[in-house]
Amino acid sequence: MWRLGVVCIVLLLIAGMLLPAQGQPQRLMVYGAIHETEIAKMLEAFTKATGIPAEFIRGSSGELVARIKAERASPKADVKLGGPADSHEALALEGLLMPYIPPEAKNIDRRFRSPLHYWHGFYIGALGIAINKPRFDKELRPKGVDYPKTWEDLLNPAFKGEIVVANPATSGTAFTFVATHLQRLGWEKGWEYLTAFHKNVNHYTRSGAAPANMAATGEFIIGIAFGHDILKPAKQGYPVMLVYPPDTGWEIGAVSIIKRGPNPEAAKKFVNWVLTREAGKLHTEISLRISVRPDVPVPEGVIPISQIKLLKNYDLSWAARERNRILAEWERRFK
Amino acid sequence: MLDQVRLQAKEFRRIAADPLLLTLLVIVAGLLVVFILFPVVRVLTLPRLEHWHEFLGRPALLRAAIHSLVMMILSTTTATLVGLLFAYALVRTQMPMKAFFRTLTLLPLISPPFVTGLAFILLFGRRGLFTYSVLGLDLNPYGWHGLWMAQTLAFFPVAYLTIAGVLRSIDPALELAAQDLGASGFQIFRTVTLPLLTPGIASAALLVGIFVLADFGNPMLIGGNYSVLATEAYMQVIGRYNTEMAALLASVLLLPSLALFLAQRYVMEKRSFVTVTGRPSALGRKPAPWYVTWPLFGFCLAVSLVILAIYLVIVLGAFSKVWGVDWSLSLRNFQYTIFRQRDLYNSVRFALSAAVLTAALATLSAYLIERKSFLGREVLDFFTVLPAAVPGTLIGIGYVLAFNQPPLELTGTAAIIVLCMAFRTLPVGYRNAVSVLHQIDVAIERASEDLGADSLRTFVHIVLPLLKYAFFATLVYTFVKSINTLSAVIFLISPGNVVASASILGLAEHGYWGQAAALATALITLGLLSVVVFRLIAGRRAQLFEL
Repeated sequence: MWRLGVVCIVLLLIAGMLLPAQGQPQRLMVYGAIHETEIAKMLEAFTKATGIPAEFIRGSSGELVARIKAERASPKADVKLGGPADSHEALALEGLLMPYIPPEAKNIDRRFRSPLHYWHGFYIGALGIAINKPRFDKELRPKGVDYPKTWEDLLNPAFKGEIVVANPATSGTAFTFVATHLQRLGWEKGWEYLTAFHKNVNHYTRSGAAPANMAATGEFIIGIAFGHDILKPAKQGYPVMLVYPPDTGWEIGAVSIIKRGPNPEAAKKFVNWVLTREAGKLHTEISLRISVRPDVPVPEGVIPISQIKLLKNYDLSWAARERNRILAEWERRFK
Repeated sequence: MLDQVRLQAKEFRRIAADPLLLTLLVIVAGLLVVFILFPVVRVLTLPRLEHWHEFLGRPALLRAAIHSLVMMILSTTTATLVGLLFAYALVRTQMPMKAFFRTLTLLPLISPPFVTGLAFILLFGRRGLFTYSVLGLDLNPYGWHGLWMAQTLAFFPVAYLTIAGVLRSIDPALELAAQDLGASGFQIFRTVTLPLLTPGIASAALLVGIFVLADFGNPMLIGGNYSVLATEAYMQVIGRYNTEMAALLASVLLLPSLALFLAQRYVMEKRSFVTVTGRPSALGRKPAPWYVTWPLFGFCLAVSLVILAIYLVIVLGAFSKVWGVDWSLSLRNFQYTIFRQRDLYNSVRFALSAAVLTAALATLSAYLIERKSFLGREVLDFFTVLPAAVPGTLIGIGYVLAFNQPPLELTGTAAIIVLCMAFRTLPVGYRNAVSVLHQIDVAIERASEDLGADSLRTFVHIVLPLLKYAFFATLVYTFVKSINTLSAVIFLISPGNVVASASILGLAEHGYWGQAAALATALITLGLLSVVVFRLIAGRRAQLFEL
């Protein structure tokens, strides 16, 4: 009897494991680089709008690019959702993306998409400085230190060991940060800046949004992250302040279709849906990012892009082309 | 000599006459080759000479290798020491609260290892509950010192279990003899107990060393800039898209790990010659004196309180509204757990399937290897226990490399995760089954065969019933280890096949500590529940987590 029971359990378990894999309808497979809850909510809305079920995993942008490259021989995902455009550009340069012109593309400014329609931007983000206000006021104010307002202010020795930023090898945010300074100051001067900055850094995290949360909880006084990642904990009630320094780096968050993915038709529908006004509105509301569509309202508490002094000539494709050289140099200097 | 040859020949004929046995043998050997040997070989052969040149030219990578070794030596030393003190205190003294201490040492074994790292940030971080809110200190746990402490706490139970097992098996007659000859308590410990215990301590240290070397979650969470090989290999894959370098780093990691593993096997084999003398003796030892018992009690209490604090803080973190800012109780973090219940469900589903697979395969291979003699028996035995020596990072990368193309294209499926979980815990299940088989006289099976039963009938009707508790222990062990495993599985998750341990790491890394703690609480509860169920059904008839 006992043996029979075990045999039954074994069979049941194996069946339970295999059945859903076979009975699955065509599912859209998404590699998402934005926060888990945001991806999940967007996919929920997409499924509701189109009836196409979708699955995802979340990873940092670099992680996902690595996966897509590793799966080159037989791609497992249909779209890469989010992450800075240069990561999409890097994939396009490797021939791993499928160009597609969605009907909604006509509503997107050409600055915000790949000229050959490999990727389309759906949000804009700008780098900001997250400051833990109570700790700053208590520990640094009395020493006569003011809130940092420019990139140069961050070199103040008073901040030694109190700044966190992500590792550019794993985080699109941090890569944008490094590339910003290399373009703002030029290669030589840029590295000089980063070397001076490194002296104040406590450590480099893997994920780009982590520094914002670490500054929010007061683990560290200052974190470098995209503005929307800093606004999120602020909205939850953490005493964290956002400063956009002049000449700040920015990203276009993009969506792209992976070549030879399992479900290209669903992928096309998804990309077009992401670019619609409704999807833009939903995404903006849950993520506090800024939509590339002028007809999507800016959420409350968010600073409109027109009031941020962006670095004028930030060149996305330069950053994508030089990625390996930049990362090698970064590792040589700071690891 | 001639007798042996004749015996071998007889065994061969026995196997040849039993096609079922031959088939099973081929299946087991085939599985081991495909799912253990092949992935490892794929990793080892991937890097070419130029990658080794690159490795030697990149100081950051060499430093990670040194960090791995340094961290292994530091954590192994402290974890073994703490484990030794615990074992002595719990086996040899008559202190109160033993059950409490024993239960607490079990906790780190059944929860995800990175829980210690997560709790460390919550407790001793810059805004830690203990260091900052209670003591007003501003300590920075990120780095080697925080990692050292976390690893010590996470892995000392392994040392404790190993040493306690050996300590219990030491024949009291030897110590009593020393006592009768007038030796003082410390003299007995130094000249009799300790030498007898040395193989146990060595074995414990070597096991802990393997675990520390391979650990991935804690260095990721609190290592700060102190990178080790396991995390660096992961970074190479995800950050630099450099699979060759990742494979190389994992290979470098395999070397010390394999050395420790072989050393441990050697020590344990030697040990059995020393302690096999022990018949259970009715003679009682003199209990340890108060000046030994009470300091040890204080020590155990202190360590146990830290462990308790670690788990309480996880639960507290899960139930508090905004960690460090708003302490009011809330279920908000669990909303996310419910929102992502699929991850938890996947963890359970995969771990259950892996448990069945491991238990079945372990029992079968233990029976074949222990009871049948055939060419290459030792080799098969070695490959069955090999996964214990292979760091999870290497297995993960190996599975991706080995199974991302036909004929066996498994990446992106649930099967690859289940297989990975199953083969990683195979060594423990196998050892469980072998140790039970050792205690069963072969004559029973021979009798069955002589009466005309074939080996399947014998296996099902004679061996399986005797092995059922070992089988059950393996089921539970594999389940608990698999819901918590991270280092290998992190390379294998895919859309729709995400497991909870990977989500926890992602959340914790983003600084969503409340949500991470909520999901971790759910995993720990599952682990505890399955152990409780095991004890209810099996009682003390089988060992679980006695490594």
